[in-house]
Amino acid sequence: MTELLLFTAVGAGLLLLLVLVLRRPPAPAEGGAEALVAAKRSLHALQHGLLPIELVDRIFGKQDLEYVESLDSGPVRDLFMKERKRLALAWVDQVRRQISGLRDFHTRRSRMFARMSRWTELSVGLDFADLQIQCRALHLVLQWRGPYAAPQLVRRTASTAAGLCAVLDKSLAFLTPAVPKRLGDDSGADAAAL
Amino acid sequence: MRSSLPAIHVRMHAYWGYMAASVLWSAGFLLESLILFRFLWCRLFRHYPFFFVYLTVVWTTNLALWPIYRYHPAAYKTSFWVLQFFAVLAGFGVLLELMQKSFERYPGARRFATIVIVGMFAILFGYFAYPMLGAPLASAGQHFAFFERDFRTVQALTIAGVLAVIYYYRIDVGKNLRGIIAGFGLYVGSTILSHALRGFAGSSFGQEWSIIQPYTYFVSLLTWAMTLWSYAPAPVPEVSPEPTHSYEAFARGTKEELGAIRAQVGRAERQ
Repeated sequence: MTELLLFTAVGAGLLLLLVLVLRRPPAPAEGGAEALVAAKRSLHALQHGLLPIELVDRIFGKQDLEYVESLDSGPVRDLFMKERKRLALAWVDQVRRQISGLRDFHTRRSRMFARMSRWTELSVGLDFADLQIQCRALHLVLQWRGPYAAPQLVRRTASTAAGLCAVLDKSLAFLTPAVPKRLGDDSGADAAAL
Repeated sequence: MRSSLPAIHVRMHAYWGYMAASVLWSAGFLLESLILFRFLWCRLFRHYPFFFVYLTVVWTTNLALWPIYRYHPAAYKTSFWVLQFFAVLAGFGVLLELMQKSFERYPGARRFATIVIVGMFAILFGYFAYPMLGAPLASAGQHFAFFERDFRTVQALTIAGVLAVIYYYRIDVGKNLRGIIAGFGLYVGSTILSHALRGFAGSSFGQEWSIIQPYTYFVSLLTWAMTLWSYAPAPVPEVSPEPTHSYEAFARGTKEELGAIRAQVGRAERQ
């Protein structure tokens, strides 16, 4: 029975992986305009869409809840809580999506390195997987305990997005061609550019 | 009259089974010939030499086995496994080709995949080829039949390794290689499933599968015929495959940020 399960898992797993690979659209070649634009969009979405402290405070702060509670209407409060939870979950999902964007960006770049370290790459890959799992766990906590249950959690998630921004910034710096300020700085004695 | 009905039914079933097998074999052989013809006509063998060798071995095997099946059925089983051995070895060449061509322009991904292939080949050689060394030809056939499931499993794990790298790095391998991978993966996966289920369900399933498996191979041939009709390589990346920046610096930067992010998320979860 164990043998049957083992070999069935291998055969079925291979067929499943095959379907996944054939269905997944390949990433465009790195360095293309599409990749650059996508990366910049991610950065913009984080910096101007998700990270602003006013937005985070507005979604997860209790001012709106206090106002709704002052109306003393049960149905209105229930509706508000339902909508706010939906909003909070959407916010977390967006953060998770940006992490996926970072992973895609990293893999598109790292696949080009001839001197790539296998173990480092494996470790980075596992880190990304771990982070994705943790984000899903956060999603579950919000789903289960509601949008106001863990204010610390929200602040830390916002810090997560900030960290992500720094990574994207670095990655985009790799894509942007370096333009020397003055040729003389990078030139040898014969004035040839190094 | 009534008592002879089951006998007629069995004879009819055997007749239709034989007819279906013959038609399928002929159609498969024609498809193999067509693919080989296209390989020669479009000079695809220059781009995919291992796959060309593999298909030539399979084609020759089929050609050689048919007269043995017709005129020396007793020798068929041993001949089948011995010839199949060469086909499976040639199949490993296809895997090497898949790895080489898929990651041709992605040295980082190729570095990652090489270790998977080399490791699997070492396991394969140690597990399969070593016990067969010095064995007489007849028992070699039996050995092969015994080991085929495990052999295909190693092949499946190797293909899975290549597929995982392609999936993780989202590499565009082009229409030709996609077709080779799809056809080969389908064949190997279905063969393993057949061995596993046959071992569990016994000969009743074996008879059913002896009909189903040639169909999956036929689907693989159709896939190859459609995707290898002409040369369609993977698109060339727009940047040099050797970036000037250090990988270590790039990976370290990503890793440091990830560490900080993970610590923050971990603390948040514990609250």
